[in-house]
Amino acid sequence: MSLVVTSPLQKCLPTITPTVTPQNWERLISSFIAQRQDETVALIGRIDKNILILENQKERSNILIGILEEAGGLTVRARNLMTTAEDAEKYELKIKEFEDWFKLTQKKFDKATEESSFDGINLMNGDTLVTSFDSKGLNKLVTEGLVLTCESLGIRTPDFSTTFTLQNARIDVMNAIDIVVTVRNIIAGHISNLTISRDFAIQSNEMAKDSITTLVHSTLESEMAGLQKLTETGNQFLNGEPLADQAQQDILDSFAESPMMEDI
Amino acid sequence: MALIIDLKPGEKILIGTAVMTNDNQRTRLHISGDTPILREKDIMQESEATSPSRKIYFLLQCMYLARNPRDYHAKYFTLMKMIQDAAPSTAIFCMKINAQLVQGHYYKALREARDLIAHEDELIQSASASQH
Repeated sequence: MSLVVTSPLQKCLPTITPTVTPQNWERLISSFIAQRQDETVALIGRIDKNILILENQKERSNILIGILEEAGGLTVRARNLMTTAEDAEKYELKIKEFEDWFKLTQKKFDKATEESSFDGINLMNGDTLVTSFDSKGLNKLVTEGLVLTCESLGIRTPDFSTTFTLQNARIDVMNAIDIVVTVRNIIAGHISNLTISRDFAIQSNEMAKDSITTLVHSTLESEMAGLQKLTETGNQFLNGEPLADQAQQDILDSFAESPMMEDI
Repeated sequence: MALIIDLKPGEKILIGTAVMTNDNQRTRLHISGDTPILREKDIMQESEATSPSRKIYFLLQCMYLARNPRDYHAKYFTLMKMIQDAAPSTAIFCMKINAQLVQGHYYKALREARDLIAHEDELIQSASASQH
């Protein structure tokens, strides 16, 4: 290996100086890449673990939404028996039964929330999951949970005695569903972000593996020849297609076309 | 925390999909949110992506502007692999760019790509000088 110590290279690896022997360059660069590889492998491990937790928590939020929908269904069934004052009186016992079932779903909901812990994390109970992208934890994705109990969601003790109080129960449940759905969407968004990061990290590591093996055979001349050849071939690797997709090209075009102030 | 940007008179800036042009005096903008922001000096048109490293910069810029950056991953990795095969000394810069991308920091990745471009330029200059 015989390389030129460029200023950006020196910025990355201050230990590289023009006086360092080529063998040492190779060692320094390889060890830098190997260290980054190790960090990436550790990162992939952390991401995988947290994706698993988030997948579980998303499933738990679905369970909670199911329970709330069950409670909402009870309010609808009760309302259907209260369309007239006569009906309300006639079905009073049945309506009371629905109210009791509603109370049971509240208990079921709180129990499900309490039992949603996975690997020590319960986002349904206000825990926070942190995915650190570096070993020092300086860059991280924080998934903040929310306390999803009937009390914290504002679901009051049901009262199915009048259509007005019944409607309150229904409103409480609908509001609670909105909140839990939001939590689920946040979790799903973070799963998606972490999956992209993981795929990217895996591909990045594969590439790094190859680079360590090719580094030893590299010379200044071979690198220049390689880069010039790539420059000449242009976008052949895309069969001559442009690099930008239409949507991004449109944005760049609008930037290029927007007038300069002196032209206005 | 809001991002503070000072615009020179007449300077253009891209915020999301909107292009803003400053009037004829200096302006300070306080911008919150995570929409893509590119200053005039950061923006590269495809016609300016004349070398492999500049193409990487351009692709990163597209990822930054895209609703789904994943659409560019295949192109990016294909080109990055070709660059690393051609010039293995670029691997350090590729790893630094990738480390930012893994975290979804596209703007920081663009800054790292500037080092890749500078490295490529210096390599080619040194090789040209050694031929003469």
